[in-house]
Amino acid sequence: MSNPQRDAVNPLPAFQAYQRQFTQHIRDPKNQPRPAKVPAKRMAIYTEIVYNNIEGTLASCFPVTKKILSVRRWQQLVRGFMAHHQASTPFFREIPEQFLMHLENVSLKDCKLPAFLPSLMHYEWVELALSVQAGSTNTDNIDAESDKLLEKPLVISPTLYLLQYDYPVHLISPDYQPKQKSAPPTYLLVFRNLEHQIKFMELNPMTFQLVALLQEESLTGQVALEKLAKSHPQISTEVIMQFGAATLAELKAYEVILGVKKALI
Amino acid sequence: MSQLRDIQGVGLGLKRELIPQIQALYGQEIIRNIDFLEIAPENWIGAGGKYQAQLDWFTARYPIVCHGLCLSLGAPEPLNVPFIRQVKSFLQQHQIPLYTEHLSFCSDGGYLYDLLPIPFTEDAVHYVAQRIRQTQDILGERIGIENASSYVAAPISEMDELTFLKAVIEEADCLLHLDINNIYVNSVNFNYDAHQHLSGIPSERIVYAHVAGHYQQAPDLLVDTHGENITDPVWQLLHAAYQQFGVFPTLLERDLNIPPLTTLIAEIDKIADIQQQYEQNSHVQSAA
Repeated sequence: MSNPQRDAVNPLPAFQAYQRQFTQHIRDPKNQPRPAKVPAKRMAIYTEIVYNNIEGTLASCFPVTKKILSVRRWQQLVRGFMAHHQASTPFFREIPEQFLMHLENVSLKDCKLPAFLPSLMHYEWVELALSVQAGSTNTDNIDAESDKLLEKPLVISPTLYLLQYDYPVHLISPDYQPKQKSAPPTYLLVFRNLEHQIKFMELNPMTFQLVALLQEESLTGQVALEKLAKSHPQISTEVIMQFGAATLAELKAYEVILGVKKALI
Repeated sequence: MSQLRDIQGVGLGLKRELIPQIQALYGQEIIRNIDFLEIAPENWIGAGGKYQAQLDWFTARYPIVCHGLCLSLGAPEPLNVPFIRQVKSFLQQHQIPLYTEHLSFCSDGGYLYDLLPIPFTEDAVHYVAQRIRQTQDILGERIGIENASSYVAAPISEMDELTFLKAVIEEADCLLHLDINNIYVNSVNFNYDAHQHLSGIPSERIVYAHVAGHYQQAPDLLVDTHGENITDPVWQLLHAAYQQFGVFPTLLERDLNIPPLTTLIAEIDKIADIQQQYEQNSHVQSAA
């Protein structure tokens, strides 16, 4: 029996050398020759199928990014990804994340890409990430009807992303492409509700901080708001408690706060 | 709990577009001929939210088979063992009795996510067979291998496709997931006689079959899109297969240009009809 697992001194078995040429051409058809004696017309089917499949997956995750970039620039990014990135996941839904990993090594300036692009693409990716994120809360331990949000430990949705960007990513479109960073930063909350829908919310800095506190540990509304007040000594505690009670109720209505912990019997 | 013997009759590939339609028509006469469903583990492993809920709905109601896309049996790099273990626990968790894959590769150290042809060489037979065995060892069960469609014949091939397929299956001691459409597609693309090819198939290894439509790009070039209705030559091959080998479970793949289920169901019904015509020919699968 022949042994295709050769050591470094010996060349690859013929079928593997051929496979390598085959995939290198698919990855970079302009610069890498197809295997000898393979008809161009037939080979082109593979280069097109593989490109279209990957491009389509990326386009459906990053629709705004694709719209903003010129056709050429977008194709260059996808081609660069195929030529230079070794995707390590067999799961199709993780291809966009692989693309983001690849883009971390791409110079925005050299590629004449807008500075907001990484923020925008991350924001676009979050929707996909949340829609497939595993894990749901065991609702048996939650009292969703209680209005004692200040008194009892709150349970916050595990399927949420609390996001902070230097650009108002949720407003970016072909007609609005900010050149400067925004001040203050843009605070966004993206979450999956109990009906598995993805929802987006722009937050003020105070609400952002409140949700962050609740994400860190399970607190009663009262304790969370007292912590918030402590970090804003210039604002009266009364104002914060008033603002806070209304905000907690609102977060509860949106299913960002799922309810309060049931008392252990 | 589903077992391999529950995979019978006619199946349908469970595409996202079809999910709400099957749920809406479940239990109704019009979809009575859908006996089992097929999913790609790559789309469902680890997916939560609505996908988890959908999977639970379907596994509670239909026998399910897993038909993979990214195992990459013919690839140069080592098998993705952590992935195979994920498949294993997915099969166990959802009580899925069968996993099949393609006799092809889709990676070269990094994934390319499409089915690429393995050259038909002696070395490749042993290499792929060993990897199928390794997969089966990890899973603790036999897998089915699908004869893949292709558009390029490797000039370095040392044997024809059928010889390669038979050699791999024999050496790996695995099952055959027979794709009828792929036989036809390749017979046009590489100019051979589809019926003669079919006659040489190791029928005792067949676990189930695929039928699908393809796209005719040129008179001598068919592309395996699963985006059209099944053509007459493919129906004829299915007749011939049942006639020669007996009836085996057969699944319709439709991945593109998916018509409403109420239209698509005509092809499901037609498969069921043809199965009935050959009912007296019982297919014998070799004992595991």
